[in-house]
Order: sequence, then C-alpha cells, then structure tokens
Amino acid sequence: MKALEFHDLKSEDSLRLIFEGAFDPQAARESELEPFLQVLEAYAGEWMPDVVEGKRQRKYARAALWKALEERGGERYTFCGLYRTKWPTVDMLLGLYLPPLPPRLDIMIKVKPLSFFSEAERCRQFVEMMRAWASRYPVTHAAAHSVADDQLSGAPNFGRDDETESRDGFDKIYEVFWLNVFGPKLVESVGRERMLSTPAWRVEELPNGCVLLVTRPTAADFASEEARLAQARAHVHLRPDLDFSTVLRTLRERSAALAPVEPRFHPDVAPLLSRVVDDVAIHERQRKIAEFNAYPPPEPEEWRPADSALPSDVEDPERAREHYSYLAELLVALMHTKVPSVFDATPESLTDVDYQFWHEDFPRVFERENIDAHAVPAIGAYLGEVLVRNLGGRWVPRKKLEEAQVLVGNRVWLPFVRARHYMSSRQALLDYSLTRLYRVAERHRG
Amino acid sequence: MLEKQRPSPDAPPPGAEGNPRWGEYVAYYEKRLGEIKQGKAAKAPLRWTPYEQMWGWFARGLAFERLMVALLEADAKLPRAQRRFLGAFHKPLIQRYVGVKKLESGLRYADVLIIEEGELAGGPPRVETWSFKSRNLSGLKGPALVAQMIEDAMEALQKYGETLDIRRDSLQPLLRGDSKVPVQRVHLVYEGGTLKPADVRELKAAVNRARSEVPGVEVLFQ
Repeated sequence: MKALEFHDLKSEDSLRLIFEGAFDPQAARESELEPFLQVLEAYAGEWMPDVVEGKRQRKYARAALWKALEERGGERYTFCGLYRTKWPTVDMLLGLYLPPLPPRLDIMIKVKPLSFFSEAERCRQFVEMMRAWASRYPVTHAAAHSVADDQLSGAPNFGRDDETESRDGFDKIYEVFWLNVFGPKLVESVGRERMLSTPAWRVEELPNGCVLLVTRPTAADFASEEARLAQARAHVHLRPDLDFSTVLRTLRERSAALAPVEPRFHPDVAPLLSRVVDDVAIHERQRKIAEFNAYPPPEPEEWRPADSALPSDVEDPERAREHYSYLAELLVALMHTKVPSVFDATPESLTDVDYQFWHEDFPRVFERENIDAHAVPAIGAYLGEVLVRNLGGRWVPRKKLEEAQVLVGNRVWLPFVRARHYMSSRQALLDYSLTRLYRVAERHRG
Repeated sequence: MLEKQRPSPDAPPPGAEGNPRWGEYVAYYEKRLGEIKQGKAAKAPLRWTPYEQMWGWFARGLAFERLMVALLEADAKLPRAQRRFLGAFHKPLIQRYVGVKKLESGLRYADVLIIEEGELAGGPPRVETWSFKSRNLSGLKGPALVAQMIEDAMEALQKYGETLDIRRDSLQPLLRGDSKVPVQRVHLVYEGGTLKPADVRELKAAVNRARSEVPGVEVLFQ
C-alpha cells in the first residue's frame, strides 16, 4: 500500500484547503469527529483518501483513523495523515489541538493536480463539504485555493514578521481566495451587511454566523482574466481601503508568473536544466523555465588547440594517470549514495553530478578551503576520466593539476580548471557544467 | 587480495564503530568488487581511510554546526538588546559538545550549551541548549513533516532539556556546587536553504504544530 508520490506530478499545481474549527474536547473524540468524516465521505468522491497513517499505514476506515490518532498519542497536539494510492493524489492532515490549548480541529488537504477541479460539479461538492464543516465546527477563517498562487500572494505573513503573524493570524482580509469562510469576528470587522452584499458567485451566511464566500464556480481557472476580476472585485468590496486597479494589477502579475511556459532549453544542457526546474517550488517553476529559455550556457573556455598543448612534464606518466584515477574515485566515494550512476562514468553521470551539486548548493554550504583542496581535484579528475573513457581521450599529465590536459580530437581540455570555475558558486555549476563541456568536447572529437 | 580485504557490515575497523558511513562504504566496496569480478572495471576500490576522509571534509551536519556556532558567537558579542538568539543572557558563555547526563537518556553531548556567566543573582545560572539538524525536509508530505519535527523536538527535550547533570569540569564553578540544573530553553535548529520545504504556509503550520505538542522546545530554521 503505497501513497502515490506527489513527485510523480512535479509540474502540477494543487488545490489546498486549510481549516481550523472549534470542537468540544469534553465530548467523546469519536462522536465529535464522526460528523467531520461523514461529510468527507459524502463529498470527497473521486479524491477520497484511501489510506490512513498514524505510526503505521492502514486502509481508510473510521476505525483505522481512531487507531491512527491514538497511536500518534500527542498530548497537546495529535494528528494523522490521509493519502490516496491512486490519481488524483491527496496529501491530507487531520489534527487536534487539545487542552490546555484552545481545542481546535486542524485540517489541511492538498489535491493534485489542480486541473482536477476544472469541473463545476466537483467544485460544487468541494464547496458543500466546506460549508458543512464550517457549519459544524466554527472557524475564524478557512480557505481553499491554488497552492502556487497562495505562495505568490505572500501568505501566510502578508508582509508581517513571523511573530506578528503567529500572534494575529488572519485578522483582516489580506486576501480573497477561491473559497473562503469568514468567522464572526472577520464578518463584524467588515460589517455583516457589507459582507453579504459582496459581488461573488456565492455568498451565504451560515447558521453559526460565519459567512461562506466563493468567487467563481471553478477553482482550476483562478488565473483567468474573469477569475481575477471576480477576485479583485470581492477583495476591494471587503477592503474598501484597497484600490481596485492596484489589486487587479497584482493579481494579473501573479497570473503572468504562473502562465505555462514551454521549455526551449539549449540542447547541451536541457537534461540538467529540466531537473533544476523540477527542483524549484511550483510558484517559481514557470519563471525558471522562462529564465532558462533565455539562457545561453557560456561557451567552454577551458581548452587549447591540440597543437599548442603543453607536453607532459612528469617523470612517470603512468603513475600520474593512476593518481588522476584515484582522485576521480574520491568523487565516486562522495557521491555514490545519492548519485548511483557515478560508478558508471558516463556523460549521464556528469549530468547527475551537476544536478546533485546544484541541489545541495554545495559551493555555498562547505568550507572554501575544503572545496578547493579536495572537491575540485576530485571533480576535475572525474571529468577527465569521463572524457578518456567515452570520447577516446588521452591524459597528458602535468606536475600541476591545473595544467593537466585531456586530448580529444583537435583540442586539449583542462578538466581541473573547469572544476575550479565550476565550484565557485551555485550559478557557476550551471555556467560551467560538466555536462556542457562534455557535449562540446564530443562535437570537437574530429 | 581485494576479496581478502573485503569489509564486513558487522565488523567495522577500530574507529569506525557507530559511523553511519561504514555501511555505505561496504556497499561501495561491494559494487566495485562486483564490477571487477565481471571484468567491467579494473579499478580497485578506495580503502576506508581516504573514503571516510573525503566524507569528513564534506559532512553537511558539521558545516551547519560551524555556521550556527559562528552565528551564536557573533550574537553573544552584541549589546544584549540587539541580540537575536541570546537576549535572555547577561553574559552568555558558549560551550560545544558538553557532556550532559539524565537518568532516562544517560550521557549525551549537547551540540551547544550556553550558560550565564555574569550577574549571578542566587539560584542556578540560566542554561539553554541547542541542537542542530541538517535534515532534508523538502520532500516530505504534510503529515510526515509534522511527525518528523515532533519526533526531533521530543528527542531534543528528552536528551538536552528539563534538568541536566552538566559533566564538564570547567563549568562547575558557575554551577556553584550543584551540577544538576534546569534548562530554561531547548532550541532545535534545522538547516534552511535547499533542505527546507519550499511551501512557507505548510512549513510555518508544521512548526506551530510541533511547538504546540512540545512546548519546551523552540523549533527554527536557519
């Protein structure tokens, strides 16, 4: 029973619901939570979680969920996870803040992909679910929205420092999301009449004084012009201090930042850049693609024409080559757990190494002295070995590592110089990638 | 020859006992040996010493610890009102790898222990402990992230919180005869940057949940 990995859908946005509602800590836990689960089971439909996780994983059933909460055994905060083994993926947390803390039911649900919610009926069911929960467990504020857009909105701080945010929470209407529930305090701060007259697809007063507000019938097209207009109109209605055109302009900028961009990466480094793009946060993904589309990786400069190569100046070339081989093996030692392909010393291994160093932000994290003394020689030697093995290259050993060359076709390459340039910063890992040098060397093999 | 030197997972050489790298080294050696047997490669595997040395230069946890200690030391030099971490101390004394003993967890070494060395007003001096973690939290799902943080916070509290018996001799004068002192605050600091989950909302919510369950521990990212 394996919960479907969110990573299988890296390029996709999700719909996220956040909900914190009051519950009665005196009542038996099961009877207090049953209504929550009834609502979930009634409305989740095609995205219903099928796995519950406490310390162990179990097939979803109410009994399994009680068991999971008990297993976790938190005294002041206890929780369990709910997942799905099928598409669409679900990552859900059900938590309970317990006395002496103010007792609250804590819910976070992420359903991926967001495009699953392009269907109006599915979205309607989702809204009904929120409505039923908010009617049963009063909230101060609850919402559902695109994760990527939520990140761009500056949530949850909205410009405040962490301390202020922790203390005040969502104490005024910083943002209007696709689906919103405003608790009585927020309603009073705006004025009940004013809130109920908000221009939106659905505005409804709940029996406990909360107000449910839905900007549009569907969640997935939040970035469309129509959706942004609806969002901006609702927001400035609730916050008359805000200027409509400013709010709308900000929302349009967010839409532009999230608009899908077709990757057109330089072919030499496309496999590397694709992995880097997969590594950045969902709200930065499209801008990163655009940046890489406009990025010409610099032409490698760590080479000389073969006829001006420096002749070997070592007494025992065989020993020098063994030393390079030993240095290269140090890179294998350092990387093999995270990059199993490093054993193979192929061009693909170089791309995997490039990515791993970038992913770890290696040049920034480790001491410069160690990088220069130990990482640079290992990387240079490894690059040289890959050229030798895959392109029929030949080491031309030198006493100084920086002068050591690998002859491939009509060029000699300086792998240790490349490695030094490469390790100078995180950006340099891309500018001086091992992948790129290999591809250029391959073309000049003659 | 290589067969004879073949390392065993259960028999690390002296000095490698308990080293998490040893298991990885055995896997590495086996892989290279297998290739040689198949005639795929002629390269002899590295010996343990250079293998382990390479790791030592690039141990993420140590690099993070050094960074944090430098930040704390710089903070201690600031006037008290301007300090970010150590505002609760008049004159903080920063000590690394301090042996601390508790009945439940035995002898452990706190990454950093900070003790008040100025203006002692009777009673035990103020003591805070710091635990640093270079843990990759970036790929975790929501509930798994919360579970990990709570587990780490609990562990920090159990090992370095509540009442500690401070073993370091040089600190005994500050303890005035009673080496058992209450710890005012335990800090659990995760390495930020690429190891941190990118989703701010989820990260903050997870920190709040962990703080709620383990109130004696301050969880933060650097």
